[in-house]
This record gives sequence, structure tokens and C-alpha cells, in this order.
Amino acid sequence: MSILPTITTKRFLVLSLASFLIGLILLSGLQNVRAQEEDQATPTETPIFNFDKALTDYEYSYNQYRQAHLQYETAKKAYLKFGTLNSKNEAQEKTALMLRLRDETIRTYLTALRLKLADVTEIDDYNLNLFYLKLDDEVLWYQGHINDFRSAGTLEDLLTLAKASEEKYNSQSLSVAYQVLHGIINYKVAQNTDQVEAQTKVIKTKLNQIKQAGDKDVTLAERWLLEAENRLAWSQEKQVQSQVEIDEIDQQRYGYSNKRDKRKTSFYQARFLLEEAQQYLKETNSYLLEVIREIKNAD
Amino acid sequence: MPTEDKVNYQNFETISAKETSVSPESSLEPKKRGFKLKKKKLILVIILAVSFLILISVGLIILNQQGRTILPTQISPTPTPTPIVEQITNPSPYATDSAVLQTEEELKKLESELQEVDLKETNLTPPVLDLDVNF
Repeated sequence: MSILPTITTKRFLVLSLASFLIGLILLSGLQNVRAQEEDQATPTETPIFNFDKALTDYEYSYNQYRQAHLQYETAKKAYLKFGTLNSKNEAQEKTALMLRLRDETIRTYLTALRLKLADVTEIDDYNLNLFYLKLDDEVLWYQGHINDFRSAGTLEDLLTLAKASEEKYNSQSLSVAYQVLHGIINYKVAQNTDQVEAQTKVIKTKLNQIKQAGDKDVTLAERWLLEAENRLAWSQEKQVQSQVEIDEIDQQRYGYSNKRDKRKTSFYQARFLLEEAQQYLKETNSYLLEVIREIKNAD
Repeated sequence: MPTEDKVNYQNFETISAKETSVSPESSLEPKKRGFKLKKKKLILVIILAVSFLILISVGLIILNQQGRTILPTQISPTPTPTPIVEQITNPSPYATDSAVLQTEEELKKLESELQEVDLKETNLTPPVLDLDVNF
């Protein structure tokens, strides 16, 4: 009699615990099913290769190259100092890695430039299409050249391949890069010029209408408009000068190696001219706002 | 010694009294125990029911939370100075002209656009590379 109640109590306890646990397990299972359903409901997004991704790739490659270059310099110094077979092998290995990463840096840089061009501009211009073709050619060349390093067996082979890459970069890639970069900036300024020019025309038409109506003196407003038109003309002039400056890069392409600095100078000068052009556009816009202020105020 | 005998006798008496008193109580024990068992069963059933209710309510709360759409946290805009409202003391007939006002609006928009244009593109300047690799 005394044992039976104890067993029953234990049974109840075990039963209650077991049911509680089963309940918990069922609940967690239900949660998992719901989570899986939600996962299935959200479609997996395919990675998009855009400018941001290309820029990250370029920065990563550039960083890798810089690290590899440090290792190459150390290995080179060791080889030139000791001249052992071991140091030669080490120098060969480090040189090959550095050269591969150098090509990879150029390739990713040109790819990023291409995607930036696509981001900023529209593909309806002959010059822009020409840029795309040039960039694609360059990218393809470096892609193939990176693979050539695999067949290089000696240090001399590597140096021959390095020379080809250096010549390519100096003679073409750098010029293309500067031209495309200028093209991107120039396009932005040109877009702004179109917008400011359109507003100038609208205000000029309105001023003529007011003048014909004769209910307001527009002399002061016309002066402001004249100043605005002058600024716009100066801006366009600067843009032309900038284009002339950047076109000189083409003539410098096959020059001596010291002409590299001249190309860089040309690019910076061309960019500076575009910055001036943009400044004139800002002034034009503010003068147009003065015209509006003048129109809104009575004589 | 007579005292010891007395004590022994008295002890015996108490023992016998205890023994005699146990037998009537033990006859009542199954009934009491049965009542206690029923009480325990009732408590256990209540505990079980309460635990199930808690489990179901927790489950319902979790399911409700999962079903709810998570609203994106609203990022408060960065504070910007209030633009100075131009006061026209002596307005012309064109002060409220829709074409003039629209042009003014577009010019102001263009002004901010012109300010934001990045002409440096510093992240795309050509990389500095060692182009004179030799031994």
C-alpha cells in the first residue's frame, strides 16, 4: 500500500516532465520549419559586379602588390649580396609574385575605370565608345599577360615579361587611363553646362516677355543676365582648353620614358581647367538667381 | 531498587500504551493516504495544465513575432541649417508668376547639384607602380 502511491507520484512527475519536453521539442521544430520557409521565400541574390565591387577588387590587388613589392626588394637585395642558388630561387619566386600582382593591379584598375565610365556616362557618344574599346583591349592584354608568367622558368624570362608589361603600361595603358579619367570628369562638367545653359535660355525668354509687356524695368536684370552669359561662355572656353590639353597626351604616347611626367602634368592641368569651368558654372547659376530676384522685386 | 522496578513498570506501561494506540490509527491510514494521493494527483494535473498553457502562450508569442514584418529603423536626417527665407518688401507683378517660381526652384536645385560634383576622383588616380624591374 505504501509503495503504490510513491510510484504513481513518480509516474506523474515523469509524465509531466516528458510532456513538457516533447512540447518544447515540437515548438522548436515548428520554429525551424518556419525559419526554413522564410529562407526559401527570400530569393538568393546574385552578386552584381558594379563599380563599388570593382574598386574594392582594385584596392585589394594594389595592397597585395605593395606587400609583394616589399618582399621582392628584400629578396633582390639578398640575391645581389650573397648570389647563392637559394637566394636566386627566392628572388625568382618573389619577383614572379610581384609581377603577377602588378599586372593584376593594372587590370583591376582599368576595370574599375571602365565601370566608373559606365556609371557616370551614357553609351551614346562616339568618344565614349572609343574609350570602352580601348579599355577592353588593355584589360584583355593584361589578362593574357598574367597567364604568361606561369610559363616563365627563369629569372631572365620573368624580366623579359616584365619589360613587355612596362612598355605596354607606359606607351598605352597610362595614356588611356588619363584620357578616360578626364572623360569622366569632362562629362560631369558638360552635363552641368547643359543644365545651366537651358536655364539661361528660359530666363532670357522670360526677360524678353517682361520687356515686351512693359510693366517692369528689366535693365538691371539684363545686366545680371549678361554677366551670367559671360561666365557661361568662359566656362565653355575652359572646357575646350582642357580638351586640347588632354589631347596632347596622345602625341606624348610614344615618346621617351621621361615624357611620363609630362602626361601626368597634362592630365592635372586639364583637370584644373575643368575645375575652373565648373566654378564659372556656379557663378553663372548664382547670377541667374540674381536675375530672378530682380524680376520678383518691383522697380 | 524498588524505585527502579517502578520506573521499569512505568516504562513498560508507556510502551504498551503506545503499542495499543498505534493499531487504531493504522486502520485509518489508507483512507488518509488515498486522500493525499488524490490531492497530489490534482496538484500535478494543475501543474501539467499550467505548464501546457505557458508553453502554448510562449509558442503563440514567438509565432506572432515571426509573423510580424520588421519595420526598418528610421534614420533621422542630419541636421541642416534652416534656409534663409528671402523677404520681398516690394513685390513686382512677377513675384508670384508660376514660371518664375519654377525657374527659381530649378536654379536652387541646380546650385546644390553643382556644389556636390566631385571633379577630383582621387580614388581613380593611376596606381604608383615600380616599372623598372631589373637585377
